[in-house]
Amino acid sequence: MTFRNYLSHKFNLKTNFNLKKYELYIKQLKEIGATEIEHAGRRLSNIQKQRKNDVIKILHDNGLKAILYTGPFGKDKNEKYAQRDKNNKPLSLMCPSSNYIKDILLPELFDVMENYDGIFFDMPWVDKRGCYCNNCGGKPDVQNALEKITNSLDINLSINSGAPKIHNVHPEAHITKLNNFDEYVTEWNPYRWNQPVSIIKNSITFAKELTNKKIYHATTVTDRNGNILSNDKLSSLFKHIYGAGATPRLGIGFNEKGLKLIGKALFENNYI
Amino acid sequence: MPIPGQSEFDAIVEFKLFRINRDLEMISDNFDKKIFIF
Repeated sequence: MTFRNYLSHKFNLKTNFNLKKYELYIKQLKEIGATEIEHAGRRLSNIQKQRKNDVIKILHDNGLKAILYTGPFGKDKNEKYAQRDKNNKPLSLMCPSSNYIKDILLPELFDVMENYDGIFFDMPWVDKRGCYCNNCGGKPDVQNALEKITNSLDINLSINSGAPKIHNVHPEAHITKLNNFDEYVTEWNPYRWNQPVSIIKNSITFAKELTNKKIYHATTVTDRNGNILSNDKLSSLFKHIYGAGATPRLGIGFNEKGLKLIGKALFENNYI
Repeated sequence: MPIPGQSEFDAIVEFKLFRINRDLEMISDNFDKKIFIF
């Protein structure tokens, strides 16, 4: 078994770091089953782009895939693209029905996606206050926006699909009629909410009924205080994710001791 | 399907939003490291 890991909170492409230490950490992650590493960094300077290429080379040399993490409706200083509330106040995300995708997102992705093996789109949704900007006239069309993205990019694409059957805060993030992404990522950490871990099967099973594409389940592996989960909880978490037919998508930036705890839970359950 | 601890849920969403938007700035900071204390 394998897992994907988000790593930009430990090694940020915008910050100088020691590539030898990075490779050492990657080898440790690989030992405990990581096969894909995500890094944020869509708007990079030339030095940062070189760092990105160095990092991807290390990942490829070690047999891991490199995934670019980004938001399809991420912020831009030009407020003409922004989602707006009922009082016309600009919100933090950009409107999917504006020209943001054509003018900003796609050109920036083309600028940095070289050498990556895939892109993960997080937060593909509208602010919970809704959008009432002049671009969408109160009817932002997420599906259409995502279709523009998948039609424009010739690379493996995965997308956050929310937590269907657990909550409905961002229903447009759930898999509906749009099935042209390559991978879907459900997302929920039941321990954070004192829920039975089995609840995550609701989302994964729902996703698998709607698509035959690969499903990941994203979760942190820490409690509310940032402490790593116990061995029993980690084991149960992995059992339910793999058992439901999904691949874990984690966010580990642990030290060696933390990595060993994750590896122990995976090893004891024969996942590595 | 109500979420237990709606305000905390909102805080998580806000953090993710900050992370995405921070990525689009040319500057860097240690914000994530303050949140993910391992």
